[in-house]
Amino acid sequence: MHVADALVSPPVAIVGAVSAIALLTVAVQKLRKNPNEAVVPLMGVMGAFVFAAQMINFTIPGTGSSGHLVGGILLASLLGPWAAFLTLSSVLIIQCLLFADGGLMALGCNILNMAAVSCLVAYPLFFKPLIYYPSSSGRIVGASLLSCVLSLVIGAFLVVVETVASGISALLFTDFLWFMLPIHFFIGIGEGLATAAVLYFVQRYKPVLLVQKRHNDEIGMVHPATQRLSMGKALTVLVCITVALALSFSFIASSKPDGLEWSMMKTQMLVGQDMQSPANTSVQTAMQELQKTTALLPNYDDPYLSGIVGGIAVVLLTCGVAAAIHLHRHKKRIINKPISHEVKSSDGSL
Amino acid sequence: MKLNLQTALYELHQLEKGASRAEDDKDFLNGIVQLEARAHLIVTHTYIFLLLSIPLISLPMLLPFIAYPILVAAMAGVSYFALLKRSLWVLPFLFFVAIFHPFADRRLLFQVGDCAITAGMFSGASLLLRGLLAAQSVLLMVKIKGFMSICHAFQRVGVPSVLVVQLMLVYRYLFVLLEEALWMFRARAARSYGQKRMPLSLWSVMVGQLLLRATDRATRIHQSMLVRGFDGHIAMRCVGRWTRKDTWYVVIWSVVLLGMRCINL
Repeated sequence: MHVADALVSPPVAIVGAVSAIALLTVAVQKLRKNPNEAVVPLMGVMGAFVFAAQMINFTIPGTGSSGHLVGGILLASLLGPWAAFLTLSSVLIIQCLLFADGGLMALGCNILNMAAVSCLVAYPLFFKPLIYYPSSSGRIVGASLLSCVLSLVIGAFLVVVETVASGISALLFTDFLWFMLPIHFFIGIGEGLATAAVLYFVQRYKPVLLVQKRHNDEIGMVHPATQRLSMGKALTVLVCITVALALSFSFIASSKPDGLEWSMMKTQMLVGQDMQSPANTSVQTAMQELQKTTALLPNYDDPYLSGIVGGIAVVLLTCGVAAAIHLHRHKKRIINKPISHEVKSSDGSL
Repeated sequence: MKLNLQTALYELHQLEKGASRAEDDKDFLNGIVQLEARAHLIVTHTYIFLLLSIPLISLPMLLPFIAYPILVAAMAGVSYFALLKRSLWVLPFLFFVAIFHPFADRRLLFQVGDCAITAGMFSGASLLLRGLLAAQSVLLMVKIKGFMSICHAFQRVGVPSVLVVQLMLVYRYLFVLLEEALWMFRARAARSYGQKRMPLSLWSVMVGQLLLRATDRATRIHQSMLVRGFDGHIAMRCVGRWTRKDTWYVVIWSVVLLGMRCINL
């Protein structure tokens, strides 16, 4: 996702640089105000670690391709968001200077797209509320997948915005998004799995490296499980995710026919029948009328709005199903609970 | 993977070796190497800024800018072909963006025999060329002055010392960690009976081990640094002062580059 110099115009590069410098200044001030002895040696070595780990690839099953760690969420989990932002920015600067990976003028944009989005947006909004230590492997995988996918999708979205604003891309905004977002969605899955694997390893063998664990130890929290996500927080995170996903992918909800509709139309045309012609059977007409009366958003007139509404509806439906399953299991557990025949005496002895 | 690590390590060693040799070289032709890092930083930024300010369609205006990396590489005794080879790394993503230009803009500019040259072809080629040239100028700057001198220049132009120290520490740890990763990879390769692919489960153990080794080593090094009086600043020998030569270098290149930008040859 490293943006090369050729992909940004000078005004966009300047805006990116100014924003990145402002964020870096805040990060430097935060670190100066709260100098943490444990973090200082870690920052340098973690930057080098991310750099080295990016060169070790793992095989993505079934695809024949390989992936590697990007490191934003991992760094933020080990160092905290601002120290991680500074560390990842330094890695990006070194990659730019030593390997020309990302342009010098586009450095500000790259810092925003990768370091700021993953450490300052995805980590505090999506990862931190979902995770506590010690966590199950499922929770770590879920939180890592979600935050890595969202950070990469938001980063890819920013790349498209910067390139289109620079007037470089020959593609339309939506077409470019169509190319960028799906591929980064899958890259995010790879990164999420890699991040989860490393975090699980660290939690198992050296949990003191994790910033949340250190924080819990400092404030003397004996039962980290009490930090579990409350329902209100969970719903807030869920709504944020839904809106982000709906905004990212609503361009896919087009008024044009989808793949299946398109292929059906082509097939009908081939056999000399137009799908919309009045020659359709009365059953089809009746079904279409029924669909129109039951559909909340007939014909997808506004794809953006329908994308958001559709996304929220899916989340609500999923929450409903999950609640129903939970209630059902709870009831089942109460029914199947063996009745205790032990009678306690008044003094508590059996 | 092994190749990736070895290449990175080799490149880093070469960079260090090249920069230190160039610093000690008092040859007249290599006078450009003796200039202050800030002068190179300013000229490189000016070059890239002017390069990017050229409209995409104006490919002919871009062509004179090829002279800068070739000329500076020759003056500094750096192989331009090695530079070109390394700059090709930027091509894949640029190519992905440039490939759509010929299809999007089919305005006919001129014809060479039967082949019609369209505006889209021009802008696509211009995109690739400016990407290559920008990358070459950055690589050239680091090749001539070395990474540490550039960090020193960052500090002198006002970049916060926390960030500069962080850059230097990452760079110093890179050698250590890349070697560590290479040893681990060799050990794994020796025990895997020629199986090259690494599943995620094994990868996580390898990277996790690397992380634990790295943090242990970092803690030891940091404690040693504290014992020796480290106070958050890395002391560096003075790598030169701004002289009249630096001023002339910046002024001459700025005028030449501005001329190339403004005058359509």
